[in-house]
Amino acid sequence: MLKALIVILSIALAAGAGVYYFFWLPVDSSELPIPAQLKTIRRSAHGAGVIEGNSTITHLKFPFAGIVTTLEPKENGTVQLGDVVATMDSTEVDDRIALEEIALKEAKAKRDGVAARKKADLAEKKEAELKRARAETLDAETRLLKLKAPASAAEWQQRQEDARLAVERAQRALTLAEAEQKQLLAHPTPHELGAADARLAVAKIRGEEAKRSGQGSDAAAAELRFALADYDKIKQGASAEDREVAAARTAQARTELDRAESEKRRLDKPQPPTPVPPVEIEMAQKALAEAQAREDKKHEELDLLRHDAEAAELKTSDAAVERCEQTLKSLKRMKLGYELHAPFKGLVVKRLVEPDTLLMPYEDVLWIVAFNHKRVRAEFDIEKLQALIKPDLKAIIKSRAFGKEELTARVVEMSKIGPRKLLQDDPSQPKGGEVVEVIMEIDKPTDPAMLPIFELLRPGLRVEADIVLESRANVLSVPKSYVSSDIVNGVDISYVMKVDANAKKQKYDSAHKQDVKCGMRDEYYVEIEEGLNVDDLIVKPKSQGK
Amino acid sequence: MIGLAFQIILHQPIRFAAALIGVSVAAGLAFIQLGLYMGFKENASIIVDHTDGDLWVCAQHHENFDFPKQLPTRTLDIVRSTRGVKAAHPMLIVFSHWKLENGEEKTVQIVGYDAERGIGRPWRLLCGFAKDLSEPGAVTLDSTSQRKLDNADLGTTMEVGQVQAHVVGVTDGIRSFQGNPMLFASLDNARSFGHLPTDAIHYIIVELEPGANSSDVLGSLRSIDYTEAYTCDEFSKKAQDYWLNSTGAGPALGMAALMGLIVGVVVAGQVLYTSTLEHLKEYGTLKAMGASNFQVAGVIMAQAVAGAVPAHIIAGGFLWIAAQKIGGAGIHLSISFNQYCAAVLLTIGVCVAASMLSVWKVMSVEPAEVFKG
Repeated sequence: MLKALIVILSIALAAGAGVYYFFWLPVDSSELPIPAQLKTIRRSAHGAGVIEGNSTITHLKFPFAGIVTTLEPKENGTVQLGDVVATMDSTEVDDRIALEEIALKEAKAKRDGVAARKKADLAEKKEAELKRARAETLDAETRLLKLKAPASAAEWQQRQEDARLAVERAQRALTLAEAEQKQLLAHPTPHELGAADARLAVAKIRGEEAKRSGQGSDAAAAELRFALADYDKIKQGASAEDREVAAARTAQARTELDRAESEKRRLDKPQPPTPVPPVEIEMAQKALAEAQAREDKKHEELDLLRHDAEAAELKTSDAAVERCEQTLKSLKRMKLGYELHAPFKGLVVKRLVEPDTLLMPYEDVLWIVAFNHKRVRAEFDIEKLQALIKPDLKAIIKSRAFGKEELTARVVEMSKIGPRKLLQDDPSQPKGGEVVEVIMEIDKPTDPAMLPIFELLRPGLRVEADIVLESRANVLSVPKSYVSSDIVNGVDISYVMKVDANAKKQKYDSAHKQDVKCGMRDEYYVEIEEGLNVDDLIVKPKSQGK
Repeated sequence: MIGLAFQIILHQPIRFAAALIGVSVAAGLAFIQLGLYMGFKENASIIVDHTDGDLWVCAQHHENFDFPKQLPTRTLDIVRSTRGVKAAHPMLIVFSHWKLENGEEKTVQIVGYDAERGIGRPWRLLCGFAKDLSEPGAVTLDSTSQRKLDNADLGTTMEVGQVQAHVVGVTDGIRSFQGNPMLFASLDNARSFGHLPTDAIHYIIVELEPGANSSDVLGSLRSIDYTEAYTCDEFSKKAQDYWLNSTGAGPALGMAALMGLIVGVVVAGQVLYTSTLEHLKEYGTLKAMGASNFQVAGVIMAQAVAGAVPAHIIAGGFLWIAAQKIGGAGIHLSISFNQYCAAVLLTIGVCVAASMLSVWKVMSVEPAEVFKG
């Protein structure tokens, strides 16, 4: 009987233990408990973005088609402001510059020649005119004196002699004026025509060359037009105005000669002196004043001429020189386009061609970016906008590229709000929702061990950014993975599995649920506001499997 | 009499052990089938059963909770503007692929809910916080599927549906019917993972105004074009019906449980009947000594119960082993204490029923026959 009872009791106990084990026994963790500790917890906003420089990526390109001759910078290399980063074959433009330099020399020589000739001709004319003006002044003075004081016999003779001399002067002046007129009408000379014809031929040849090469055709056409105009001008000879001036001068000289001869004839027949009426004296005085004025004017004109020979022909020559200089400048500027210079100190992000590559105009050669300030452009969920408005926010930058190391940064700008754009090309990035774009500048690390990481940062590197929104030091905290929660009557109840150290048995008691109130949390830890004390032991909750 | 019953049992322990094993296996089979049935039933409607809310709105011709149709875009606004509706919360059920480290992909079922309001959030978090699900790419996974998913844990980063994701919480015991790992995510994240349009929703969970008549609101919601509306209980039953009845899984499990019970009855009955036949003279002697039929039947039934009690313990062991072995594969054996007690009674009942043939035989024995030689 006793045996039966023992068997029944054993079975009942085994059944009870099994049922308790299956339904109610809390499952302890096999891990050792950890204590709740005081820690600093940082609440942060998490975003993803890319490294960028303090400028947008600049695409360097040649404006012309051609063959790349040199391309020194490598990808990830740096360039300094003004460095020649690439050159293109410039043989053709060099040839054109050489030709234009020759043309400039020709134009300058021509201009100097024209200037010299024009100055000499005009100065000679003006000097003659001045002489005439002086003579007229002298005549006027003499006449005035004569009118004021009646002439004696000796004076009479003297007057006759003067009249004779005046006739001779007038004859010489007439001869000179006629000679000038004749010289004017003799232009163009065969020599001038020949030179102009040769220039025209040269311009035509250049035009054809330009047409064949397909470059500089505009300049060549302009040159041809200029040569044609020059040729026409020379061929037409002296202008109508010049001819009229020369004819007028000849006529004046002839009139002077007639007047001198008339005076001489009058003096050759002596007459008793008659008292001179005051009106005549006044007229003589007036004539003298006019003659002096003319002389002064001629004097001024001569002085002016000696300083500047502003003749139309000279202007044309100057224009030709200017054109040559302009073309040369333009070609030299164009040659600058055959060299690519770094527009700023920067980092070469991409090298798209290699030497000896044939390029189309405006084809990308290098991409560079100013990288003296390393920045992160990242997108954060719009929910964090309000928290991100705070000034002087710090951030922690992480990337798979630098393992567990972290860099610090500061928020410099909150730019755009809108749909996700930054990492759209990456199918693994979350889609949808609205984000705020934040720009952060990465601080140069003070720790020498971190410097290599900082130096290795490159534009386009994807990074994770955690902007620290709030930080609390020395708060009681436990790892997030140790806090469980259940919904009870619609309310989230958080709890941890707390254990007590049993000093007698030198082991830990079974874990039991301890409700806690959680506060701020970061990536790894959660603040415990109520329910635990410092150094309370907790174990990781284990699945009940139900 | 009980002592006598034990003496008879212990007189032939090997026979008893064989009977015990037979009954245990049969009861274990029945227990496991029952657990599976209850587990499947629970999993089929697990989201509906654990989500706060009064009514559910889904697309017209809705059949299965796990494979929903998209609701027309304006439905959410119409529901919100319906009289008696306090709030309406959208929900999504999305299937996607979790990329493992070796490049393999596992199908996962994602519950997308309004993370701001929290209706539809995971109800049991082993670790982590449901509020963190509003972060871009945040998901929870279940502790029962961690092994399937490269032992992913809190903080693990991976790709779901080719979209970067990270685990912010681990739920405990939240499984889908099909055994796919079940994740929770915010609506935006779920749409990202499932590559759905930004306004896609599958279900609307309706909270009623205090004092609102549920039937009236239900009627109004049912009048919305291209939608259907249910109470929580109806919707839960509909979800269970699809998997357990429409697919034949329920009858199959029930049939297997029944077969287990029949086998138990047959084994226990056969062993008891043989034993009774062997001890027929002793029972006749008892009767000749003045024992009543009831007392003799008590001896036999005590033997049956004495076999049933350890058999249910062994069957419970089988259940536990099965739960451990197949539970990790995502299949859930759900059995509550009450169900277990009922199953124990059933086991005893089966054994007692199996003894009825023996009882009838003993009751029909005449005491005089014992002395006939």
